Amino acid sequence: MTTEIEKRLHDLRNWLEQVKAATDAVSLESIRSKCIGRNGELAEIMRSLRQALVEERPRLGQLANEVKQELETAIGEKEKTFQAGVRQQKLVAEKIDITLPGWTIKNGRLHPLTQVMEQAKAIFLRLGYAIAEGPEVEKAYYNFTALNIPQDHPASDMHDTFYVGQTSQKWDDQLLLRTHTSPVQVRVMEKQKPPIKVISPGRVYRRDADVTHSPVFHQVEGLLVDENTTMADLKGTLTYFLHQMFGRQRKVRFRPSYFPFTEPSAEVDVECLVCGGSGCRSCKNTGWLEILGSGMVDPTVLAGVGIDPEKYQGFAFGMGMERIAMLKYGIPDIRMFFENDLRFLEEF
Amino acid sequence: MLIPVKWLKEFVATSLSGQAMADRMLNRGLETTFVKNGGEEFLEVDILPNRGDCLSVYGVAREAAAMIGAELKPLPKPKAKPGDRQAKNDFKLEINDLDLCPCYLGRIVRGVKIGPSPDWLVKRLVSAGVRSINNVVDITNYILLEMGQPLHAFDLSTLKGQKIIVRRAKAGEKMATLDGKERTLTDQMLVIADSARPVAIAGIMGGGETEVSDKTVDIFLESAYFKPASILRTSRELGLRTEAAARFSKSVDPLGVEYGLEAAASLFEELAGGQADEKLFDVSDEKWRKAHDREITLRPARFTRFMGYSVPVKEMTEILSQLQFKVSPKGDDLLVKVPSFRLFDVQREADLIEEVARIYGYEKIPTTVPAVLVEQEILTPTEKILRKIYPVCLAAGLTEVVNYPMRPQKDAERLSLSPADKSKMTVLANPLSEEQSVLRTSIIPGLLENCQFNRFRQIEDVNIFETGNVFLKGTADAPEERCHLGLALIGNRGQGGWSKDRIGAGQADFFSLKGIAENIFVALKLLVIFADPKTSGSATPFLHPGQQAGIVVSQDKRVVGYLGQVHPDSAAKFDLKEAVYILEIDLDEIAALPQARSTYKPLPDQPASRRDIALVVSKTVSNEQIEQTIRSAGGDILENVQLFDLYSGQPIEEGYVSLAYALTYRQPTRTLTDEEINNTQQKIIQELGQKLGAKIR
Repeated sequence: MTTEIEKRLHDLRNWLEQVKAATDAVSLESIRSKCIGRNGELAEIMRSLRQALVEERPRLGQLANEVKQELETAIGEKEKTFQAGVRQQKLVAEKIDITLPGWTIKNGRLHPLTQVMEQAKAIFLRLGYAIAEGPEVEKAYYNFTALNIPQDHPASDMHDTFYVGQTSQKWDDQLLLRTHTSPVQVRVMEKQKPPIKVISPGRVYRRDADVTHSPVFHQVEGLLVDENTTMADLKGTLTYFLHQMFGRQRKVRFRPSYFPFTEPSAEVDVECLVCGGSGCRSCKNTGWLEILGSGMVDPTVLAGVGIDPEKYQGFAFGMGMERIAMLKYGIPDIRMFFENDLRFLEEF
Repeated sequence: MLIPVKWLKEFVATSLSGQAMADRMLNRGLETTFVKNGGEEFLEVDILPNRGDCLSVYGVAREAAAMIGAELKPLPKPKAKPGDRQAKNDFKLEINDLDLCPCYLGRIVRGVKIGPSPDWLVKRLVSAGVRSINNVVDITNYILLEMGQPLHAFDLSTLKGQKIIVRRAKAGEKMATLDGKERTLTDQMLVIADSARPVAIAGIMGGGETEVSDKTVDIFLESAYFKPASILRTSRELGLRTEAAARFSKSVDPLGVEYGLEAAASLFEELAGGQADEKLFDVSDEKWRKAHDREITLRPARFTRFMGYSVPVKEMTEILSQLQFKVSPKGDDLLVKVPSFRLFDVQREADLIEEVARIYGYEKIPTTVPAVLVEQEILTPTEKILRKIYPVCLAAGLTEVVNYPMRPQKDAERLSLSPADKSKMTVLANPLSEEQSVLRTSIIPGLLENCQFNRFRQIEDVNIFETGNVFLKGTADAPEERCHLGLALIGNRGQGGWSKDRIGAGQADFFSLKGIAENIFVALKLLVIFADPKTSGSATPFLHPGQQAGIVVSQDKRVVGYLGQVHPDSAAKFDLKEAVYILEIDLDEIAALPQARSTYKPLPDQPASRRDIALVVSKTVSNEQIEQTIRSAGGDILENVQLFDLYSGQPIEEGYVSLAYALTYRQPTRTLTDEEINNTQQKIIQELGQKLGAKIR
């Protein structure tokens, strides 16, 4: 009896061939049921195990388990291949046209002026400058007088000014649209003791309109006042700024100039962004572009806000953002910034 | 100023080419460009307003010589013929206002023959861009160009009463200038008068009746120093910008006044056949003469501390001497005497430091970076708010625009503003045009114009925003400036119209607008209510009466903005036929509020249960009423209520709407039982029915 049971168990392995040959999940299930199912062959053999010798039973039981394991593993693996096929078919059926456009709300953009302004601000914030703001409708005192531009000095001709409301009896009280953001510096110096290290970005106004002049434009100005701030510091700071802004390979040039609120004053040029210095229309064939006005804060300005010019000294600088954006992006007409044609704005 | 190189080189001994001179001068403080025109070479010099001394060939020559280190040759000496100068006269000169005219010289030249100038003189003038008129006028122009002293020649026979009086004009006094225009003068303006009337506006322009003509025989020649500020003011007030005014307003060389007069008189004799009288009319202020001896101490140590590098004292001395300053040692320092032609711009030690630095060369300045740290807030409150708002606007597909803050007055009518709101507009005294004559009180009109501009160019979908100051005039002189955010939506919100059920890609409407607003306030961490304008009391006149809301801060009920569809009547006034949705927020109002900080809250460890409620109510019932009813009936265990469906139309009865809400239940400390949740659902359904007449579907 024992031998017969053992043989039958061994013969069960013949099912492995059929498992291998199965072509679909249904026939595989039928094979499984016939060999190792509840009423299958193996179950039947196990029931006959009672007839075997008691001492033989453990050995036969172990053999039965082994055979069962083999069959289960084979069936399981076969099953997996069928499942993979089904999933594969499903995936094929799910193919989409990936060339259809994405659906989204398109990202908006910052105005090119804001982009350039943010770049400039970021460089100065990195250098430890704080941002200061002031009113756009200013008093002549802050816009001119406190900056060493007396009403009757020819330097005041450098600024075509919009006046606001009634003409004031007292020039210093006359309201106007600020012609530069320098009045912010005066207001900061009135309130704060050195060291002072601020930039004043903002909107300014000049009564002037053509291809390169807009009655409204934007400036970023800076001011650093401390005990030993020098012209060399100014040159180092602005060279760093221009290299960050326009690339480290650009040459930078400092030229003597005149601004009423700085002495000495310097105009700062950068190698032409368009032609790289060989000469073109943008740089009027000079190879250089004027970018910044700067200088050491005039002692009269410091004294005027109650800062002792013998003890403290510092530098100031300023630049027009429209000009920088025009040069950077090759924009031919300043008025395009304010037309707000979306096709233009989306170029940047 | 256009300077012929040939003329310049008469005074500067150099073999440098015009181009080389220009390059050198540019880097030493004169903005110079080399120009070739018709075979002739020029230096185009852009003279800054503090350097009136450079407004002549000789003035530029002085600078150029110092800049290139060349010898400066002197001006030609007037060929005076003292023997000829004998005629006596009883002509008189009076100065009433020495404060405006501290020095006035005159000489009478008799028997001139008015005619054309010799060729060399004509060529000179033409090369410098000046038209030749006749020998007398040409000579005065020639002296002006050569050394910068403006002169004026009167026809002596036309001067009444044998007299020149320098005085302030009488208020309202009139005179005809030689450009043929009648000028009305004020009592702050200086005139040259004879015994009867003004014959010239001092330092600016002569009168038509006394100018030199073909019939002129005897001349009164004027050379003077007028106070720069007075000339500038008069020239501005009269809108009369002349070559003479340009020089007097930036100060002429006090010591050049006499040279100019004599050089011209001498040329009148040489080229116009005249004879000068012996008498030199000369009235000048003694105090003014004394003020020409200005000495300034220059401390080399100060230079080093200020500039960050040092220049040897010997080199400083050389540079200043080249610029015609007289330098003498004074201990460790230098005592520097300012030449007469630089008195206007060199007044302090700082000015001398600049003189040394610019001639020494800015290219030699070292570069250092200051190590100054300031302990203050880096960003302003407004700047902080902007940095939170930009990302929301960009993600919402809004493109930033920048508009002029100057607006037309008609905005008030276009936006149906009340008289009170219209009075908040700040008016410019001298606008460029009516279209830019007041300062904006809102960002919106600019945005509506941008919408129109783009629609007109076949750009259908306009999603834009702008931030910037608005100007609100109150009782104070200066308007209050507040930073506002404005945005406008027209057309589609995004791309993907081919796929119907995509969120956010459809046409702009009130709710896509409100969605952006909600995101903005989430980013600002500020709880707000979008309030019916009837209850918040802030109806906006240019918005659709049934599609607008005020934005109200939950905590203190202050109104910080509004949003809605633009009223079709207002839209039409901006040439917009389509529905436009706009929002405006006062960012400074928000910046002034205490800023909320993010704090950690523990995450729930109990599971949530979701139940839905679908109901039908009258359209007069608002979502807000339903949500409030659900929340109050739901009590503590109701965590969230969210509308997920809204429908009206068949089979829902006319005047009714079907809404479906998802309710989330959760208790942080324990798991809720089905019974609890079911009881609460029942209670909610009951309340909805009782309070709002809602039927559950």
